Amino acid sequence: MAAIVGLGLTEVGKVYGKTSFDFAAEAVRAAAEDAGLTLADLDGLLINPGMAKPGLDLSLARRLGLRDLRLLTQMTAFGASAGVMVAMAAQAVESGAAEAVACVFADTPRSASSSGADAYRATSLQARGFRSAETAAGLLSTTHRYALAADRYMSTYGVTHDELGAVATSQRRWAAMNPVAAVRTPLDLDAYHASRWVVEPLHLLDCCLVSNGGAAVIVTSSQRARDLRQPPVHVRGWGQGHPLPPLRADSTFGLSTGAKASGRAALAMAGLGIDEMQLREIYDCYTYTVLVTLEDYGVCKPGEAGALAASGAFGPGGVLPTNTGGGQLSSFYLWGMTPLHEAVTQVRGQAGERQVSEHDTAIVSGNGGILEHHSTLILTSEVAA
Amino acid sequence: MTGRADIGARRDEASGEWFDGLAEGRLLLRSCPHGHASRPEVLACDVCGSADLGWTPAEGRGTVVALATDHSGGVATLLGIIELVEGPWLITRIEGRPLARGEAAVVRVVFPVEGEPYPVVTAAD
Repeated sequence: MAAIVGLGLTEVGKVYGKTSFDFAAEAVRAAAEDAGLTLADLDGLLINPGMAKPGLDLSLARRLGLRDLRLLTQMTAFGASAGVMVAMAAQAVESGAAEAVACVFADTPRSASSSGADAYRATSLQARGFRSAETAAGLLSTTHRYALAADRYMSTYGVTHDELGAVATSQRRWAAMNPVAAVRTPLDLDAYHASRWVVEPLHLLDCCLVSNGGAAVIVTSSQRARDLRQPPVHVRGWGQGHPLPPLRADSTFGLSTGAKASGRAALAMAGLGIDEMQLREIYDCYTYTVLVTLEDYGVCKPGEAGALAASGAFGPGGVLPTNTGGGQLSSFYLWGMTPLHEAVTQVRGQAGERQVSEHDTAIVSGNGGILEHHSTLILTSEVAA
Repeated sequence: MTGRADIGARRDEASGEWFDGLAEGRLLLRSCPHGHASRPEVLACDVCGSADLGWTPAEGRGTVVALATDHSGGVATLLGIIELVEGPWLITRIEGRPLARGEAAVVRVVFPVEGEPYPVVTAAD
């Protein structure tokens, strides 16, 4: 089995004057240091570039001074990338193809003059061909498409804005206890409702932050992990799901995601049930994705996660601690590294004031594209239950 | 038209015939020998997987499946997923009076000053 033994996070958020390469190098060095390893101990590097151009590429390895690597590639499944990278690293370690693999993401979508939403919008605006007709008609960004997904989900199941808002307020309560969270001020439902529409039905406070920064993890064998500096976080299971339903009559678009197949596969590999997960670190590019992902993972039935959110189940003191660092909504947005970073921190027992008392098992999600790509990791403090 | 939707549609190698159809006022769909219709970008029929794809004009009628409203710039732009009677979804702007989910819509082609023509929908009545 493989384990995550190193965790590196740069300063994140409104951090300017550094390139994605600077952030990535800093994150990999920090992760190695955290593990008690040197860069010379690494024989694998998996690189996930973000949205800003120029983004990370294979030259990162040479520029970092890594030598004689046995595994090196640049990969993306967009928001699902972190889980995909860790799974690939785990497979490499388990097969003997590599011994210690760094997985890194870094991005610089923000600038002093741009919120970063522009970096994401630019991708739509540069569209050519069929998709450019949708852009011309007003589908200007990812958020426009997620708004349609959320509308379908909300109207089908009767999910309310109070319920979406409960995701945002629960996570803000966690963020208040997270020193690296960008937004720690209290948030109530009134403030949530008062936040402007970005694209209705999504308020500003339904949408994640946009952050500059980098994060990395180091994966090695569970056996070797025992001799390293940090409590090992074992990679017990992983899965992917890319359902890609045709956009036509009877499509499940908005109602169900790749989390269903991905979660099922990851839990089966781990030999654990969803009810045995003590932590849920869920990709929350929007409040809505938390709800639909938890439903697809089997935490509750379709359409019921909103009521759970409103009951307080996901927040501090709740029965289903979820996005315990504040998530992408309130802490920072480094794609799938956000939920992964929090899961590793919690499973290690290093989450300080926000530490969840039972923290031996975590399910971690990644969601990429417009609900098109999904990855899941099952992380545990022990090799076997 | 909205001020913000002046991002011109641009053809590429794959979409030339489709934009030509729009220029003639027709929304084209991909069609396979079994009579299934798919969205224009597919490389295989959505229903049966056939790679033998031609073009067929859509009737230009459908039903609203989902809605979103862009409020930026002080203008409310209504966007929707419209299920065409042939089955494929058209994702575009709803012009004229607002439509509700489940309401009928008809396709209309917009000819902007810059860029290629593109489809929008309006109320069927």
